[in-house]
Amino acid sequence: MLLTVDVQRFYFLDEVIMKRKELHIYSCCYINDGIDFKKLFKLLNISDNFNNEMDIKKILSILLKNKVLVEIKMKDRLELIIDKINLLLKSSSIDIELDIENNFIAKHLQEKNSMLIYNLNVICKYIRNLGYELVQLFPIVKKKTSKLYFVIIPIDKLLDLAEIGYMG
Amino acid sequence: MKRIYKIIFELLIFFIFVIIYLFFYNDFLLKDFLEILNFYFIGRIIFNLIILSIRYNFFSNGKNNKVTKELFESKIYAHLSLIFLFLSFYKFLRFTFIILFIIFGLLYFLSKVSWCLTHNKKNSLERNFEKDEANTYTKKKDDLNEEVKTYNLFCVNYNSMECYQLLEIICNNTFGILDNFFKSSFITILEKLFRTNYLFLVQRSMYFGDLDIFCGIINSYLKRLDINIKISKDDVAKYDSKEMIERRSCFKSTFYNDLKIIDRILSKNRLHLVAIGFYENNNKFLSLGIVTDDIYKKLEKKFQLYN
Repeated sequence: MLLTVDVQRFYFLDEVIMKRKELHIYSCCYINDGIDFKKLFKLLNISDNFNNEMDIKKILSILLKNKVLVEIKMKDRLELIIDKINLLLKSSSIDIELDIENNFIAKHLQEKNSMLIYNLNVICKYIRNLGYELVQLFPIVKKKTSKLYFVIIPIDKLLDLAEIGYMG
Repeated sequence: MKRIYKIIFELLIFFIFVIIYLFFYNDFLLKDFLEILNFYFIGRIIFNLIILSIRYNFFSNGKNNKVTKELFESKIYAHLSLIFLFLSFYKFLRFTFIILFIIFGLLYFLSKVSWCLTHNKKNSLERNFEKDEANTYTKKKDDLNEEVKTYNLFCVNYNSMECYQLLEIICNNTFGILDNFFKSSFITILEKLFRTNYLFLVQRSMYFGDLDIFCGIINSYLKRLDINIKISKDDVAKYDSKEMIERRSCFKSTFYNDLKIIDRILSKNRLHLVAIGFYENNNKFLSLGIVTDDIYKKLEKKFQLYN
């Protein structure tokens, strides 16, 4: 369901976006308990044999278990981030491996020193060239979390994702 | 009229009081009249005070704020000072009651002044707030271009008749989208519009110059609409100026430029890419859609274009 996030939540989203001063170029999908998780699982190629009621925590844990979602912490080192993204690429059957030695990434990473969002932007730009998009899943929960959740989906499936959550 | 009824009611209560008084003290003399009047006023004011307290504490529906609190306090002081004034007509503790009357009179005066000040402040704050809101509203309208810089942008407040008319042109009420426009929430209407592919929400990733993502999203939308056009990366990139190439390389927004070029490509097939902005207070949705030439002309004729 598109726009499952209610209007009041949008005030919250506006606040979140305003507070975040880093510029991220990857897509962001805001999700809450009310999302059509079956559609999401189908989009991420997860076999669907789950019951009808599921909260956002449960959804995230299933995605993590199936390795189609990675959890990145703000303090994670670049090497660890790249390892996690590689795992994600592998589970999404994308036949490519990121490497700090890789020309494209190395060239960009030399320019600025380990800003998480910048690094993720560079990785995202690299993945885009392959026809895929690194999307941040942003769970809307009362207790704020500093973890970032990412999935990789083909670019032509982005509009389908927009039917599940609110794309920011 | 209401005041006349009130006066009649007060007089009626007074006569009832006099009758009851006469019933118990039938040796009534005219010189006692002032005493009766005094006694009546004390009773009436105490009764008023009780009613006032009950109303303030139990029937205010949580609307008590600083202004009503100060008004209540000043009323209490006024009532108490009047009670002490009337009590001072008796010989018993006359001096004490006079002092109390003066104290409560002063308190009433001070609380009334304080209430007037708060009331004026509140009014001026409200006036400023309205003014600010009007300013932010117009500023937001201007900012919308500045912030996102959207090509072919039509902007409407989503709780207005304008919005209804705009959507009427875009979807021609297909699938009964507008049947419940005034009854249902706008989110529901938007959801229907997106589900039926009239519009789609702009994604953040579209802003930042990456043609892979931009063309990818536009192409998947064209596919949904069964429009047999595929826009390749090179189709857009060939129009790029030096500045645009630089912007693309360093994550800067090229949204306006990209929309413009896509619109130019689509216009060869009598199609147009339009951006529709819906806003109300802090909420705003920027959506894109592809419309035919005639719909675009209708939109252009009826609505202001923010380019």
